[in-house]
Amino acid sequence: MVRFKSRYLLFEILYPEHKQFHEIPAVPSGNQLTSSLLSKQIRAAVHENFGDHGLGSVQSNLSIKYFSPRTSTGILRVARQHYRIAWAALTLIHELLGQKVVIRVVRTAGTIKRAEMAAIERNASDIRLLSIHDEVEEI
Amino acid sequence: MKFVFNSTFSLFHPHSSYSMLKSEKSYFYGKILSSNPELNVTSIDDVTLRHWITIALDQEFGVFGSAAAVEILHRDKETFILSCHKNDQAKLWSCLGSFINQKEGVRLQIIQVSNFLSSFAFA
Repeated sequence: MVRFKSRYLLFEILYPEHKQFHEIPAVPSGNQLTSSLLSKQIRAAVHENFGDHGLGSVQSNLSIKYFSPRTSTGILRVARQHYRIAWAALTLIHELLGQKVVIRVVRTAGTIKRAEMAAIERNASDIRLLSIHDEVEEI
Repeated sequence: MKFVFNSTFSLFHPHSSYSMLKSEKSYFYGKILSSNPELNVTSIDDVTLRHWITIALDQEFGVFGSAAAVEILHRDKETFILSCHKNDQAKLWSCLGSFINQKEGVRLQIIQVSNFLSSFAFA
């Protein structure tokens, strides 16, 4: 039996023009940015950069499994054969809801569990950075 | 041309053997078709043809597809000969075959595809 295999891309959205970007890279996205809107933007980016052929190869298996506007982090599921197209399309998105963004794929994993574990590790390191930043400010 | 020992070829010619380098280009021989009786296909210039090829690549393969290097080698009335890299052969073939300009009723027909230009000697 041929098993359908997929890739899970852990990505984060960076806002380089945000005033807090240089202090805290994980800038919240705001409630307007939902997973459905993000999914539409990714499909539009795939269609613009890779045409009907690229969209057709990726569309049926492309879905956002997790997205947190608070940490601007998400997990995207895509078929293993075409994950590079989705990765490139994410990287080529430069604007969301009128704001300049940079989407960076942090980790690729074969299972969603590994991607979730990577997201938890990143959140833990961000919390540590925030606590250090708060201590420095108090001083 | 590289000369290397070819064990299969040496069965017939034991004192000489050679092998040809593969061509890195693909060549397309095609024709411009039009369903519009008012449009004279022979009056279409090379710039317009290149524009249509770019549109076809862009529709099918996006920005990255439209960057494929395609050259118009020869143009004679409604027929043309294009060249591209062999890796882009399938892309160019599929997008040209599916391209239709509805406004002017123009279509591109691919008659022959080859890795060697000399195969179009009849053109």
